[in-house]
Amino acid sequence: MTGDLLQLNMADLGLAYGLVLLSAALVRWQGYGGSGGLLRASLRMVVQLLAVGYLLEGVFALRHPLAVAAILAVMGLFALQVIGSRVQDKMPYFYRVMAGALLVGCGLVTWFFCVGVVGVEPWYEPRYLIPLAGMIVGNSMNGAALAAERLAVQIRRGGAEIEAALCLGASPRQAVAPLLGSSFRAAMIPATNTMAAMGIVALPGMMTGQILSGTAPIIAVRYQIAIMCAITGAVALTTLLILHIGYRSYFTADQRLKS
Amino acid sequence: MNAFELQHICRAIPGDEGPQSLLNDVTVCFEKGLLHALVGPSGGGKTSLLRLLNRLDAPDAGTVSYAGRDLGCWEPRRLRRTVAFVPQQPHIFPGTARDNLLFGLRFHPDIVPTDQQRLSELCALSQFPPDLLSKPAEKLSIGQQQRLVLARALCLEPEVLLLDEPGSALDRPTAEALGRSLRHLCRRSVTIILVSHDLEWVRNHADQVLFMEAGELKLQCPAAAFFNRGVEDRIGRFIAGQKEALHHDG
Ligand SMILES: Nc1ncnc2c1ncn2[C@@H]1O[C@H](COP(=O)(O)OP(=O)(O)O)[C@@H](O)[C@H]1O
Ligand SMILES: [Mg+2]
Repeated sequence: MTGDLLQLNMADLGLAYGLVLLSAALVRWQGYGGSGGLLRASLRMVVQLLAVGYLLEGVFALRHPLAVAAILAVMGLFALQVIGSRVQDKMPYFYRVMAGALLVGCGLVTWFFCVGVVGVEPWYEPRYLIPLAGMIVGNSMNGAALAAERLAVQIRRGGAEIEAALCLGASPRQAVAPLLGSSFRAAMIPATNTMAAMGIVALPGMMTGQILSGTAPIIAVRYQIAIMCAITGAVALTTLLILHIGYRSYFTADQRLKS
Repeated sequence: MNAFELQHICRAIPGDEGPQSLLNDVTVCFEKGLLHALVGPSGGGKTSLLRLLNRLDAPDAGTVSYAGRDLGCWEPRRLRRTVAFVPQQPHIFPGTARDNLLFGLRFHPDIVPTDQQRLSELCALSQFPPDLLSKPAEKLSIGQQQRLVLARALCLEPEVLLLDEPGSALDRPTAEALGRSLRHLCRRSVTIILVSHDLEWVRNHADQVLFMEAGELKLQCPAAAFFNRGVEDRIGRFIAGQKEALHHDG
């Protein structure tokens, strides 16, 4: 099917890049400033994407599980770094909790999705595994950052509420239960909103890409539905893990709230 | 018999200029079934001491034991149900006053459900007006919330009550009525350890008075002896100063 796709050569890319140059020129002519930033960002985009493209070409050609694993590891580390930069108020053992939750949450869902739902053969087939894992990790990363930030803020602000429950003989788990609920809901908002807007406000990137490369729209839609379900599952699982491991780090072994 | 025994308790927290000492070598016993009043200037460590007794905080050094067992040997949830702490700022959970009063029961399926008679008894003991039970709890005044939180603690039938300034938002007659309720609990061998700034109230209701200043326990004696001291030392001047403040208030 990919045979249907019109190839883009470097001359075509140059033509497309003309649009960026035109924008920069317009900005300059109007004296708005910032045309340099625009050009730098566009060049960075080109270099980064070309590098990823060649890297993926190599990995796809290799079709070796270790090469795929290396890509997934880089993806995971990048996600951790993004989460770390977004969350101001970090819980104790922050990176360990995040890494564990992403590994288990995204790992399980990606494996289930590739092997169980799509039926990828072999399971590490990079053409499927890498983009699917990318979407799942990317979305879970957003959920994880939201959950961790929200939990930290709520526990810090909710000290009186938590101690009031502890004083009535609640376990730490019982004392934070209401806070875990609202943190979970906050973390799920982006995934929920995306699902609600899907197909109406925006045609999702993966589906658009598949259609461009010649896939029948109905097949592309099926993929999109399946990946949305996988994303929702992964975000929920990752978030639940973060909340349920994370709250413990705010308590001591003798069930006191750390000050 | 002693309910609590504290030996050489020290506790400090990290401060801007090195560790800040909250409690410094406090050794004290609290006899069972008595009403003990902690008094002294603000920042003296009274609240810090109460928080150690149900393990909301842990001491850096020294030992605390309750009923002859080191606190470390108590399961924290069991201890906190037995030794109830009512903080100065009442925390209200969502729902009506009745929901709040019964809130602790959800953590203890073994406690028999509270019937109407028990509910009235809890309201009477805590001086909480029973006709407010179906009101949303966050609509109540601070004084009413304080008493509601006391009733919520009593609902779990604790052996010890730790009360941080329970009368601070109450008018004189209500505070006096609360004092009589607490005395009634003491007769049922409940041990009460409370913080108060109202020495008149302490004189009327406390068995033992403990004077704390700068994280140290300066004096522990029966209430009568405490109030018969002269004004020759700091403690005497503290008592006199409080009386004066009372008179200035009118
Ligand atoms: N968590 C805390 N953080 C900072 N300072 C504290 C904390 N807890 C207590 N303190 C300080 O410790 C001292 C003793 O406080 P506290 O026990 O509340 O005294 P009291 O109840 O007698 O007024 C005060 O100076 C108070 O500011
Ligand atoms: Mg205090």
